[in-house]
Amino acid sequence: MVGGLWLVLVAAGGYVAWLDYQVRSQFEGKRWSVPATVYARPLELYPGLALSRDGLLAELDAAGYRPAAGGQRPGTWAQDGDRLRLTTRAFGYWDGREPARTLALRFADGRLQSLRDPDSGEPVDLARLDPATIGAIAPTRREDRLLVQLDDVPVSLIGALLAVEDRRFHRHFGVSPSGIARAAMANIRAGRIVQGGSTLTQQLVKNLFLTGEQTFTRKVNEAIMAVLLELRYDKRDILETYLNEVFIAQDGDRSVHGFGLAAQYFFGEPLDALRIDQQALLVAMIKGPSYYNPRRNPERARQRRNLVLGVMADTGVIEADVARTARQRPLDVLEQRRQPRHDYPAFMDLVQRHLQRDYRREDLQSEGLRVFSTLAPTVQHAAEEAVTHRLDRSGDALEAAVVMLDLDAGEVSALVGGRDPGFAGFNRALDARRPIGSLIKPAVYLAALERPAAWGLGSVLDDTPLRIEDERGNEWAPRNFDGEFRGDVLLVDALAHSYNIPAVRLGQEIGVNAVTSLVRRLGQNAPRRAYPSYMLGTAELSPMEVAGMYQVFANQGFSTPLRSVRAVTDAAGEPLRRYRLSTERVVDPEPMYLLNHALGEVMREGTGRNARATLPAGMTVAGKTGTTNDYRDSWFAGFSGDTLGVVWLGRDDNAGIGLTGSSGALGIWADALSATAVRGFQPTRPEGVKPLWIDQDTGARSHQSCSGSRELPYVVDHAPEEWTECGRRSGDDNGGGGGLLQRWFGD
Amino acid sequence: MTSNRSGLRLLLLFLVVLLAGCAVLEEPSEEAGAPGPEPREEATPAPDDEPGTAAVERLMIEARDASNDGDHERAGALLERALRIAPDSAVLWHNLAIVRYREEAYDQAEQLAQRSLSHADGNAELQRRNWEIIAVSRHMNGDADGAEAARSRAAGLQEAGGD
Repeated sequence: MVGGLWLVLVAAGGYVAWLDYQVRSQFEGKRWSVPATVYARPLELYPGLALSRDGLLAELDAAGYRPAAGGQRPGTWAQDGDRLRLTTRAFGYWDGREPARTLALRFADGRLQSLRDPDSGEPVDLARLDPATIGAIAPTRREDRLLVQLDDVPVSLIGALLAVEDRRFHRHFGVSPSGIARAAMANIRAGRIVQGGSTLTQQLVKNLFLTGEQTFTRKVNEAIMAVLLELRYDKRDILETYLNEVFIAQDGDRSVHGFGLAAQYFFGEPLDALRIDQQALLVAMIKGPSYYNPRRNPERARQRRNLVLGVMADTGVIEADVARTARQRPLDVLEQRRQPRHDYPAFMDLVQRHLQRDYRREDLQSEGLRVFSTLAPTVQHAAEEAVTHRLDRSGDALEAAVVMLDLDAGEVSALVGGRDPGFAGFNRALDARRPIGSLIKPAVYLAALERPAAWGLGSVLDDTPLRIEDERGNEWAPRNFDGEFRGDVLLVDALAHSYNIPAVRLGQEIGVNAVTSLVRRLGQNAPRRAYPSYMLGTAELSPMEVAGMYQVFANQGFSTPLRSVRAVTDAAGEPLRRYRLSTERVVDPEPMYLLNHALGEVMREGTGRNARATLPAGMTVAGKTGTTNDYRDSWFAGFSGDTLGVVWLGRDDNAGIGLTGSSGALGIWADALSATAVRGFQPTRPEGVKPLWIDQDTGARSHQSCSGSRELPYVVDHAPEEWTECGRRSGDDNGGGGGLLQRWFGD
Repeated sequence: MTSNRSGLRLLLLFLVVLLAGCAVLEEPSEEAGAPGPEPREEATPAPDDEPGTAAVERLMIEARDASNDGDHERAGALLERALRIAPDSAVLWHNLAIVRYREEAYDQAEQLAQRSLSHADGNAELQRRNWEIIAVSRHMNGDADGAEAARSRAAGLQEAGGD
């Protein structure tokens, strides 16, 4: 008998110990899976910044700012005479926390003309706008929450919660028989359920550890575990956990947990910025997140909110007149999707690939990491806009991809992976490897220009019929796009107009290996054994890889590994990892300058000239068109002084699209760049390069005063040796700068 | 006039930077045959009215303080922030090179100094300092010939462009 009792006691003790273990291991370890949050780059505001008022408003919209009288509350803005007033939200950056601050901004001529503190009137040198949240790295069906600490939760909200859900919270030990009795009485008095019998601790246990089934065993387990939780942890821990755990709404495949995210989800505000009526509404919803959903059932939600306000007044959480005023307020919840939750599937894909080099997928999905990305919302919108605008009238099968870079920093500022930028499908910007056509030619010409003794921009190339053996020993006769042969053409023009035959000949002369080894220096793979057709772009690259290659040109010979993430912190804001800017010179300044001059000619006179009509007046750019056989791919890659864009158009089934680089991709590129580029491309001329006058037909030295002369940059000591008759005569006492040039270049 | 005031401000900044830089400079090497001139201090920006000058100055000062406290990671991050505002600033690239040098990341120190050089036309003093960084970085990487070549470039600039 006694033995049996012992057995029961030991078994019960073992069972409780097991429950205790469950409670401890789950409560102390990872309480929740919190997805990594990915932020856009913060906008840096400073006087003189090239930014229009509309540009700022677009940034504010992306970051979830709202217009509100005064613009004094964090996350709001207001018009204030000819100024804009806004208040940033406090934000923890990788390099420290910045407090909320109110700013007065004045715009003129597309610039931020002045930036001041409106209270003191003092000028502000630099301020950061807290960044837009662009996504979360989470499993598809997921719980989402924005963790809050107890001290950041308004006292009145906690008061309301305890008054409604668990009045004896601070006195009970996990379960509350008298609480159950009291709730029953209150419910009877009200004639309906106004209070639940479970303590907050029991509710928490139910949510954290147990399934939803209503069985007696579960009730017993819940009670035991609630007591264990109270024994092990203090009330503050339990309350804070509850505030973050509680389920408040369902948003598609995402469930909204905790008051922090609920405040954002329903009001677009941080929890500590909510008014009393808003706090009451959130507390009201706990009883039935779907039933009291203020968007779907506003009247029901309003009544329940007012009930909560009444309880708050009755229990002394707020004054009666405060409750009266609060009851009069409208619900004021944001429209669904008014939330700043634009989707950036292609860019998010890039960020995840970047992070997976250093983090395990499970950690990204569960550790609440904060990821500071390089996405610039305005650039992204411009790129998407350009794609959808130009593809609107085209057939459904036409696809597109865009990569935009902030050049000097080597940062990816925007990425479009298909014609529907919001659709998370095949990411063509990263994964569509397609023949690049004439986009390869700059590498061919650069490999030649790296031998300045043999080749200059004014070298004469042979554009006459050519027959060579291809890789299978068959005869191959490359043709120009228009089928013409031009006889002699200058190297610079052959590139600007993208003639094929001179490019193949030049490649033959310098050797295919010279070209492939340069392509490797530009950071791309190249075949060990390539054929003459390589010069016309048989190499297959993704738009992102093309961007990697062209950023070297744009950065004047320096290669900068591309980044989509600047830094990562843990959930508490402690820096974990920073991805640094690094740079390496891979092409000498002189040949690089010459090539960029030719890429500028593409835009002035060559296949890219149609972009001029779209680009802002005076914006100097450089770039190259690409078209592949049977019009399968339409490419353009080009850059201003601060922005590089690569655009690809084509079909997934590789059928022809009837567009050249010039008639297709160029237009999208020009639209996107016009909306984002600020500085023109004005490379510094290296000391080893000087401009010279040459004859545009023969490439011989000439003089400014001679007819048919043209100015081109040359590497010092490698001027053409031949002179035109006129040039020789005029060059003797050169008025047009030739005298000086002669001293530099004279033989 | 504003330009006078900003000139004065820059002069003061220069003195501050000079003193702070000298006071904490790390010696790159104790061994015999250590390279001659070493990167002494961060340079100051040329006076101009470019947008964001005040912002860049503020970030530079914070970066210098962080670097002098030994927090090179933060110093680098601040200079990168400044570079996003003024990407053509030879001074910022130069200072980032110094930060990398102090972290003993000699390859990047040289490359960043090269990048600074590509923006330093007409500023012989800054060019000379960049060549000095390149010389000591190469030295630290065991490239004696390269260091010597860079040192003679620096010396040439000293003669030509001292004033």
